[in-house]
Amino acid sequence: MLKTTPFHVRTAPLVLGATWRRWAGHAVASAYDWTHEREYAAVRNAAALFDVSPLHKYQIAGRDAARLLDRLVTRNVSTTQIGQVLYTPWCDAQGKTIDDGTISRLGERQYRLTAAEPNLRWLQQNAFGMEVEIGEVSDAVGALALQGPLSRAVLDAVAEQPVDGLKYFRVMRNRIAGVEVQISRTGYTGDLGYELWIPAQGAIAVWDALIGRGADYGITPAGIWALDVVRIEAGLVMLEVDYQSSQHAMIESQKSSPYELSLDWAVRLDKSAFNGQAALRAEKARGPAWRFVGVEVDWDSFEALFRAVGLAPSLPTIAWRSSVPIYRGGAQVGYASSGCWSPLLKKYLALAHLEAPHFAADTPVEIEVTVEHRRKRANAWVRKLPFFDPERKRA
Amino acid sequence: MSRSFDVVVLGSEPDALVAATGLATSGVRVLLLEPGPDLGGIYREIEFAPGWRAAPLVPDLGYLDPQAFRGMAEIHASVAADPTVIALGEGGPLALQRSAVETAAALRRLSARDAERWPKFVQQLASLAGFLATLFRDAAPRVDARAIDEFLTLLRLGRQYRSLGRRGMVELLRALPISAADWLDDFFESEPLKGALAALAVTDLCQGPMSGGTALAFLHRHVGAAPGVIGERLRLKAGPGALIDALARRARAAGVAIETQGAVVELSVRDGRIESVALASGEAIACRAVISALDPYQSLLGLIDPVHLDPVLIEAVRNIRFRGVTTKILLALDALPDSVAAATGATPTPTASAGAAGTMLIAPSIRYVERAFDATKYGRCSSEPFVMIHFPSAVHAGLAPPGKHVAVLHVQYTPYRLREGEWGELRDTVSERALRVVEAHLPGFTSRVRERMVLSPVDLESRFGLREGAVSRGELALDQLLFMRPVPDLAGHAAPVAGLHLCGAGTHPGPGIVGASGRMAARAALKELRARA
Repeated sequence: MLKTTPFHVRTAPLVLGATWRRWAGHAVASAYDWTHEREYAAVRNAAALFDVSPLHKYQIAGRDAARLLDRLVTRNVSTTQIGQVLYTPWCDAQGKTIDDGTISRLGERQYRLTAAEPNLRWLQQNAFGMEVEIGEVSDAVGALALQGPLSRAVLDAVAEQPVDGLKYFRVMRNRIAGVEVQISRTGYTGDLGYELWIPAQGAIAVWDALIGRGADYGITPAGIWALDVVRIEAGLVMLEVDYQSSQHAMIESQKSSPYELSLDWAVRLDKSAFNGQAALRAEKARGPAWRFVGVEVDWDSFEALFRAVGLAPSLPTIAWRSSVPIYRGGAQVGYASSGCWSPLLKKYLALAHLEAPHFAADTPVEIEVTVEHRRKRANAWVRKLPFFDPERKRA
Repeated sequence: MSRSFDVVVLGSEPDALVAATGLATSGVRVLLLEPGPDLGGIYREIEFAPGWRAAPLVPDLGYLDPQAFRGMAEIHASVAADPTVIALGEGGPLALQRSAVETAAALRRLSARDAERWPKFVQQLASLAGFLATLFRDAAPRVDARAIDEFLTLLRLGRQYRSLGRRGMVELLRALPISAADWLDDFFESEPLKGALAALAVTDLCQGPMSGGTALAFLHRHVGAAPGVIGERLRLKAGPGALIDALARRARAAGVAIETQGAVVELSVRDGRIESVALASGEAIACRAVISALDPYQSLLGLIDPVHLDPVLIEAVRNIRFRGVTTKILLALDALPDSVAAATGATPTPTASAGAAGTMLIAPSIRYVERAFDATKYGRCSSEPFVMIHFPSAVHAGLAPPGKHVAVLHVQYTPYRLREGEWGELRDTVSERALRVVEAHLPGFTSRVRERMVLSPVDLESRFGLREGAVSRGELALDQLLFMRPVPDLAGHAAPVAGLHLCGAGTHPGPGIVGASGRMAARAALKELRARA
């Protein structure tokens, strides 16, 4: 049976067009309005409120909590300060990515790991011989992402403690409508934004407070369609869309290493032993065979393909999630795994996997475009990610 | 100044000594560390009553790998018991003798058909066990062989397999997965014979003779046995400890440094490579490689920080089945009971009895053994166990005071994990039951018992370091053999940590095939050392 989130009684009446979708076994809104344009605009111009409760969440505590996480993920957990949050992928012993998520250090020996997919078994397998408690708190903790340039103002209006001092990738304890919450300055939009971690029983009170006080700031409940567009603008990789978990891949070539996902910055080879360390060290020495990059479609070339059949250009306003071939010099050199029209940047963008040596920024490539049932190719360029990176994200 | 060696070998059972000698002979500096005070582990006799000694876990040395023991004169001072097995039961003892003709003659009393089939049975046994012997000569071939030498091994095996002939090939494929009961039913009808053979098949297994794969266990136990000989491979006149002494002498002569009381508490790993071994004494000895003859669980999960191991591998190692089911009862006897002599058909002498050199077996039918196993399925000890009796003093008089004897009872099934109660409370019950069974078949036996020591699976674990009391160091089962021993990813004796190699009964080719794993581990370690140099 499809589960609902702790916010469901509030979100359900807002869904006008029955645009429900499944996310990790939960019913969530693709959009609340008939289309997602207003919701998208809220992320970039006001404050959008996403229900991200379906994320998998694990509470990890005990003497060896940091040791477990350090052997699990590619970033250095032992040097994390209390109140710090890390984004990190994690790998199998062959250095292929299983999942990615965040680790929040909530106390001296207390951490929370978020994941796109269930990871309890993998955590338990990794915890062999360690003194650590692993709690599955996915249902016990509701999560909201409040994202957009006015998100800070909304939180300052409703939270007991000001969030002004909360830096990028830091987490604090706070209280909203009498409910103990944790607020982290994190998100999946590439904008100024926060994520709120709320005990399920306090979920409605917090939602009501945010919507009530946030109205003055244009707070807008937003669904996954809007999220999809902004995360492509932000160049953020998505599990089971842009890459497959090595635990589900059927064949070797379906797996990706963090280097192949261009997550080099999140791999600390010099830290203590972790899953995949030796394989990643070898891969780094050799240089990755693939990179995950941005692709920007050349407008004139794109438009010409449609003009040739007497049509105006047809743009994907809802982001696509499929494999689209990328060519260079007549040969296929990779594939895009998601793409959309960016209303803010006024560009047609895609996220793509390209083989060496075609992944250098500004390399001219071609992307397949279907025009009136026929496969064509439009000119495009390889671009460095992210496409959109406002100063307010970190400031 | 801290010490440093090329290779540190853990343990001092034969495979460890073979590996150490092999490396030292190739010019490698080797240190062998035995955790206890004496070399040899389970091969060393223990004094269980003042003046009485026995090595209860090694009634038979098994098959000594010819290459590993080449040139060792000591291994020829052996005893050939005849009969090798005496099955006790209704209708009088059944003696399995070295000569197939004589055994067939003895069987005629039970079944003319069985007597007629006996020679065919031992012939097939020799042929199939012979094939396994070739399989055990080299590192287990991987099914996904990529390297050319592995492919050649597969090819050679393929030829060997073809040489079994059409019938032989079918027989082998049929015998590998089936139960001992089904396999024996193909040949025989008399219960005393089938019961005895079935008991030999399931010795030390947490399986009954009706469990799949037990026919293979029977074949495995007869690899290296002389053609026609059941239940015996090699027994030295001077006992198993003599093998250790001879191997230790050879190792020292080759330049191996040997130290006892050298308990290792950790194998230190850096960047995925063995860097040193840490001793309980606090000393750290630097090394380039380690060969561990401890069981695979201990070698990997007991001595290495798990952060260096693939969690998938950890899970596989944790799932290795050990499941000890055997209790050993060591008995100090005033004299060999008359009933023993009567059963062997020999006249006892004051010091030894040639007939008592063989194995006495109380397993009167397949059903009897299977019923004994049933209890174990529910975490209980059999109320009527099958019992094997050895008289080590009949071979090696020095194990008991003059005129006295040692008997070792192998009692099965007594599981390591009990559903109810604890072993502390159960030891006496198990011992009483076993002696009651023995007394019923050998009247007057119990009255000769002066002292006893009961070693339950729990005691075997604490006393000899055998995980779950399993002398096999990993149950002898089809899915835990060849390239799947100890686990599929660890075939070839190399562990996932560079520089670590495993040997001993827990690795290919398994319990009872002695020296082969040590030889192969040494070869693998040497290859790695040279590749790195």
